[in-house]
Amino acid sequence: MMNQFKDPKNTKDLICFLKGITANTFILAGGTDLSLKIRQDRLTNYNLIDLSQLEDNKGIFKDKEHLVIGSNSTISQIGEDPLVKKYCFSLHQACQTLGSTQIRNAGTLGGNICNASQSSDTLPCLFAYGATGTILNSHGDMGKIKIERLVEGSGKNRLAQDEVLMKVMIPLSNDYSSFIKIGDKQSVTIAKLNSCLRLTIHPSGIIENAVCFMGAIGSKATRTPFIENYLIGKDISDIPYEGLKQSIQCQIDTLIPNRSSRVYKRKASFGLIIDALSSIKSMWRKSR
Amino acid sequence: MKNLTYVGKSILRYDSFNRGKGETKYVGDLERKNMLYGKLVLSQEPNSDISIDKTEALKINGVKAIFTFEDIPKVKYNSNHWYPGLTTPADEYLLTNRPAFQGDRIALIIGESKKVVLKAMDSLKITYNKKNAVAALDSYINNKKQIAISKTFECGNSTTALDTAAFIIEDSGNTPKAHHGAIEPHACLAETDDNDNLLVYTPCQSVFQCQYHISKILKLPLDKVRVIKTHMGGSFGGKCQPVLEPICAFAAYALKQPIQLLTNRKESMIGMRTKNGLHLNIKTGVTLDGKITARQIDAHIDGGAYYTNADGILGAIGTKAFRLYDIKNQTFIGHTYYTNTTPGGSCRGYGSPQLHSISEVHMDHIANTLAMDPCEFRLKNLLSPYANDPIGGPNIGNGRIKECVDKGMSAFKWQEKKERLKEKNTQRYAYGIGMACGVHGNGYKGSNPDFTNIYIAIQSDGYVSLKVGVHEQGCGTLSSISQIAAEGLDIPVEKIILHEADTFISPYDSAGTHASRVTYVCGGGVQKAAEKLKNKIINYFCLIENYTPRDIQTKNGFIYSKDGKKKYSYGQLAIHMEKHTAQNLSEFSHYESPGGPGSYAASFVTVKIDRYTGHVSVLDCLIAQDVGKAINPTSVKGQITGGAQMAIGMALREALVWDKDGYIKIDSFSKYHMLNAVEMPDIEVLLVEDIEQTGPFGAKSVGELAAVTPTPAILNAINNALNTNIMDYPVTPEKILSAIQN
Repeated sequence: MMNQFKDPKNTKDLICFLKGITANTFILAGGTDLSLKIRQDRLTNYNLIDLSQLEDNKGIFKDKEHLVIGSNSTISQIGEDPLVKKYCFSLHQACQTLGSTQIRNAGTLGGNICNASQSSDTLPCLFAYGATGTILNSHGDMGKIKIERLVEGSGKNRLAQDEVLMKVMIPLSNDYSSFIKIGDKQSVTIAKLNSCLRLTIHPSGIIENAVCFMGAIGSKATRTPFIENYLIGKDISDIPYEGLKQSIQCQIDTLIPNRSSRVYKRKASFGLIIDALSSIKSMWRKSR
Repeated sequence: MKNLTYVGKSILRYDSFNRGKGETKYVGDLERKNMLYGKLVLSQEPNSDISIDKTEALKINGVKAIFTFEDIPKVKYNSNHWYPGLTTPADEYLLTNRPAFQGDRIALIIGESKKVVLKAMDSLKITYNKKNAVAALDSYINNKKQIAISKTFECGNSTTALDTAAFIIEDSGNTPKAHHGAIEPHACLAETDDNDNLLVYTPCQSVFQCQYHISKILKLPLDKVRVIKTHMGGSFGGKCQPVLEPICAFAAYALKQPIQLLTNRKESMIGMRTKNGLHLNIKTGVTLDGKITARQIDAHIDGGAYYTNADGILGAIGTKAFRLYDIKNQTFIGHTYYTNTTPGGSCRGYGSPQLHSISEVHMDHIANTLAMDPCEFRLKNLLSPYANDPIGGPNIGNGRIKECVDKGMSAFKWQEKKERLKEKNTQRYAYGIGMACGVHGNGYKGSNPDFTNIYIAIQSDGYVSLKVGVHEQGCGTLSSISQIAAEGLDIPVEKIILHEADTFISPYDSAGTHASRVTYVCGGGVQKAAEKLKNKIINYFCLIENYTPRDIQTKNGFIYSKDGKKKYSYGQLAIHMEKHTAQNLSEFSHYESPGGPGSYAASFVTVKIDRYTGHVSVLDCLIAQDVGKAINPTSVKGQITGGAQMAIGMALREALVWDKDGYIKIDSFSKYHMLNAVEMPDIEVLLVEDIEQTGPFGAKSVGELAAVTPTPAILNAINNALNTNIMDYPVTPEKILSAIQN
C-alpha cells in the first residue's frame, strides 16, 4: 500500500490493519513528534494508522490493583484526571507541564512512551511506579511488558512492527511522588534534566522507601540508587542538605562522567531534588 | 503646539481584525494560475567547491527547471546596498558554486508541486570538495586577512587623558550572532504581467532596494520591475536585505510563469541573514568623583561569509558610542571580519543592542569600583539635550536621557529597592536590581541620503489618496502615518487611504524601513505635505467665497466660514476645483530629513536568580523611553514591550552557534529559545514626551531602541545579585552556576 490513511474505530479493525503493515507505515498517536519527523525527513511515501478514532484504548479508570490509562489518552486528559492526581501525582505534574497547551491537547501517553525520547516527561514517572503496558499484535494477541523494558531509549522502543501499545497500568499505592524538570526555558520547554521522586513515608515521617529516576541524562530515564539510598531512613522533615548534595553529585558523576553537561547537571540536579522533596513534604504534611 | 485631534490617540490598527481572524493573506497564501513552486538548495558545507549533477532530478515528472551557478547571470551584488550610490564590495551571486557558509544558496529547483520539488531535491547529486572553514570569531580576531573593513572614530586624545585618570577600568564582552525569529519565514512570489513587466510580491523592508538589485542583475530597466510589499509576519531586520527576491524574480522571468518561493524555519535561520556578533574590549578612565575623562573601545564584529553590511554595522556601533555620554576624549577602533557563517544583516537596533549590552555593563563595573550608585554615576556623565556630536554627526536634538533616568528611578522606586531588596535573599534565591541607558538614531542624516516623496490628494469622494513608500513591519506604521496625515489635513483617520509600498505606485523613497527613519523622515514628510495641501484647501475656499484665512475654520474634513454662511466638505471643494480650474486638489512634495536627533531610553529591572539551577526570572521591568511624541500610544507601548521581549531573550537565551569547523549547531526553535509568553514579565512603559522640534508633531523613533536597554539592565541586575561581572551573552543557567562557583 502507498500513502494510505487508516483510522480504525475498534480493535478488530486495528488488528486487520496491523496484518497488512509495512516498514513505511507509522502509527499516528497524536502526531506531535511524528509530524515533525515526516517533515524533517521529507517523507513523501508512507502510510498512517491513526489511533485517534479508536475507542478501546481511551479512558482512565481504576481496577482492584491498578490505575489504568488508555494509551490514547491525551496528555491534557491525564493532567486533569482526578484519579491520576490521587494515585500518581508525579505523572499528573508531568502532564501539566509537558510541552505547550497545544502539544498536551494533541499528544497522547502512548505516543510519548513509544517515541522513547531521552527527555520524555512521562517516562521517569512510569518507570518509578513500575508501570506495565498492554500490547496488541496483528494476531489479536495481548501481551504485557514493563514500560521500562518497552522503552529502549534514544527514540527507540521494543515494539515489533505489528504491535501497538493499548493500555498502561500503574500499581496502586499510597506513596508520595513529585515530578520536576529543568529546561532551557522555564515553561513550554523540553527537559534538559527531569526527575520523578517517589517516596514511601512512615506516619512518623521516616522515608521507608525511595525510588528516583532522572531523565535527559542517558538514553532513557535512569534510576539513581545513590540518591535513593541516601534518602531511605531519613526524616522527610529534616533531610541534611550537604549529604544529599554529595549523594546527588556522586550520582551524576557516575552517570555522565565524561559529558560536558556534567558540570551543570551535577549542580542543577540538587535544585531539582530539593524541589521534589519540598513538594512531597508539603503533601505529606497536608495529609497528616 | 496646538491641541492635537488625531495624533496622540490610540486608534486601532487598520489590519487588526483580519490578522486576528486569520484572514490576512501572506505570500505563502497567495495563489496564481499555473503557479510553480520553488525551493532553494542550501549548502551543507561551510566552505567548499561544489559540482552538481542534476540529470536524475530533471527526469522527475513535474520538475520544470533546476538552476545552478552555470545558469545564472554572472552579476555580483551586495544585498545590503539600498541604492546604487553605495560602493562597498559586491561579492555574492544569485547562486554559488563555491559556498562560503552552511546555508549558502547553491541551486533553485522549480516544479509543479511542492512534493515534486522535494523529490528532485533528494535526487540532486551534489559533490562537495571541502576546504577549511573557521566560524569562531575569536580565532579571526586581529587576523588581517579576514578583515572586511576597519574604521576609527575619535575625539580628543584618549591616550593622554587615560594617563591622568584616577581609575582605569577595563572589560571585555561578547554578544553572539542571533536569529530574528519572525513568525513568517522568508517568502517571495514573482510573475510577469501582460506587458512583460516583472512583478515581485514580498514581505520586504524596501521595495526600491529589491527593485534595484533585480533590475541590475537581470539587466531590466528599473521601471519594468514592480516590487509590491505584501503583508508580513514580522521582520525585525531579517527581511531587510533581499535574499529571495532576486533569485525568485530571475526564475519567474526565465520561465515566464508565476513562482512561489518559500522557506522553512531552518532555511530562514541558516540561509538568510543574522544579527552580527560582537567582541568588545572597553577601557574607561574616570576621576575620583565619577566623571569620565577618556574611553577606548576596540570592537571586533562577525560579518559572516559575504561583505553585506560589514561597513554599515561597524559605523553604527562606532558612532553610537559618542552619543550617550559626554566623553571628551574617546577612541573607537573597529574591524568587521569575514567568517564562514551566515552573513550579517540588519537586526532591530542595528548595533545598538550589541554595543550597549557590553558598554552599559561596563558602566556598572565602573560605578561599583567607585562605590557610586549606577544611576548617579550615569547622571554625572549623560549628555544634555541639544549636545553636539563630538565626531561631527548630527546634533542629538531634544535628547531627554537624563529625564528618562530621573523619572525611571522614581517610578521604579530605585532607592527603596536598592535598600530593601536584598532582605529577600535566601540560601537558594538571590535578588538584584539593575538599570541601563541607551541611544538610537532617527534616519541616515549625516551618513547617507535620506529623503522621501509624497503624493497626497483629496479625491472627489472625500477620501484622501496618500502615496508614500512605507512598509508595514507590524509596528503600526500605516496607522501612525495616516494619523499624521489626518492631523495635518484635519480630516478623520478613516478617510486616509494609504497602501503599502509598491514601486509602480509609491513615489521614490530613499531607503525604506531602515535606520529608524520611517516615522521621523516619512512621517515628517507626510506632515509637511498634508499641511501644504490644507493651505491649498484654505486658499481655494477663500478665493471662491471671498474670505480671508482668519475668517475660516477646518474640522473633520470640512471647511467653513466662521460666520456659518459657507461650508464645503473637502471632497466638494476638490470637485469644484477640478471643474473651475482644471486642477485636482493635490500636493506632491519632496522631503529631506531635517536632522538626526537621538532617541533615548533607560530600563530598570529586578531579577530573581535560583542559585541551585542557575535560572533567572525577570520579575519586573520598567522602561522610560524618550519618544518625543507618541503618535499612537498603544502602538508605541506595544513596540517597547515587544522590544523588551527580544532584549530579554538576548540577555538570557538567544544565540546562533557554530562549531569550530563552521557547522551550525542551532537550526530550529527547539534549540533556539526565545522568551515565550508565559515567561514574559509585566513591562511598565513610561513615555517621556517632550517634543522633538524636527520630528512630525514632535515624534521620534521608537521600535529599534526598544530592543536595546533591557538587555544590559538584566546583566547589571544579575551582577548586582551575585556580585559578579558577567558580560558574555547569553547568560545561560550554566554560565550563572559557573560564575557563582568562581
